[in-house]
Amino acid sequence: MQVPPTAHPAWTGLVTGKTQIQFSFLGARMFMVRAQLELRNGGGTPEMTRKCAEQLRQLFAQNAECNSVQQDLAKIFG
Amino acid sequence: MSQHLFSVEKVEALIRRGAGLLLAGDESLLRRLPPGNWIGGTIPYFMAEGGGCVDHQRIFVNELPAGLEVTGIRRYGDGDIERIYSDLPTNGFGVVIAPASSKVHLSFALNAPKYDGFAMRPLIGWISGVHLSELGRVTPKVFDGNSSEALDQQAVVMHVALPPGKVAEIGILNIFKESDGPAITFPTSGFAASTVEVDGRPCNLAEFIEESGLDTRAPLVADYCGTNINVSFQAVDRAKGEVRFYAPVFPGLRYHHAKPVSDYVAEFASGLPRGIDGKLAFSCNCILNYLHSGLEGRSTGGIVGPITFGEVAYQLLNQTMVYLTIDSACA
Repeated sequence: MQVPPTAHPAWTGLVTGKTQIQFSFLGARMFMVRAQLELRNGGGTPEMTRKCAEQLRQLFAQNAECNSVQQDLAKIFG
Repeated sequence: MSQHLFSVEKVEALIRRGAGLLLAGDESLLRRLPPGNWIGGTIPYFMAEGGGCVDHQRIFVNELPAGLEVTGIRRYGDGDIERIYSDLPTNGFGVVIAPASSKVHLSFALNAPKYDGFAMRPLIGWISGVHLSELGRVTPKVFDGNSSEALDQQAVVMHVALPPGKVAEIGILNIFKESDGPAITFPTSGFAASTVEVDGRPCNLAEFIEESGLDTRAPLVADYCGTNINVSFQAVDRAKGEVRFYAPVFPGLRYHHAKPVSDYVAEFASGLPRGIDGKLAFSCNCILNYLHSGLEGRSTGGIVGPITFGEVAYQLLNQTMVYLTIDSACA
């Protein structure tokens, strides 16, 4: 499965916690905790949210050939 | 992949052959090795084929699987460790070894998740140590194979490139699970804490531990989006009202004391993911698991590697087995 662009609302939903899934990819779990703490401590501005969503998308794009990432993409984007 | 305890002479031969090696052993043995494609860290404890052991005569050798290429070995101090993730090769992974209690160890432990490029590429590794009888007398070291130099204030990172069609993935096996006890939250990040909130009520953590009879051999556990991440207790100083940890605690996370584990080896074996046998490239486990679970002479499901003073799976972990697998890429 291809990695959808940053503009896809699912990325924002994930970093803000509005969408919750059980990630298979350990890197995504680690990154999500960092992103959620950063957003909470920094006030969760739209700019910060967009930056975190972009980084999450980048994480998936850079590791897209891993089986666990493909499983997560299927969970998120069906 | 080859993972064995070898004599210095045998390791020398592997180095001269150009093999990419991750080494662990006694400082006096590592100091005898010639330059080459290797990094190493001091520790005399291992999970070997015959079970957990202490060995001052041999070096634990992790030879990189065929097809993987060492593209560089970097050193980082506490002034430039923040580049550790952004320097990783885009088509591979990194293996880090840092000396326990060095500034770079502490800096990485506290700040790694804030560094640029955190988690974008796999970074696995461990914290080097010493025999427990040498604590406070001998400094843990790491070795940069480029020059065979021993370092006690820098971390070394081996950069490894993957061949086309292969991917590297990090996994962890943590048998500790959050108990139903009270949630503990911390006001600041750090390796020590005094006043905390227990279920929302301010209290002194050292007093709480003593009064509740908490078994500090089991760690605090935080939920990282479905993965249990431990913070192990180092010491409880009732007089100073301070608790020290082997990894930092972070504000904004809820920690619970772990449920007791009756048989580590049995829980470990049942928790091992299936199908990783032929794919494992590296693994290591924690000295606290070795000690508290009596792993000396016991085997953990065929998983071997150095016993460490901290594990790295993207960031610093405690009381956890970490491993790296090399697998075929998804089409």
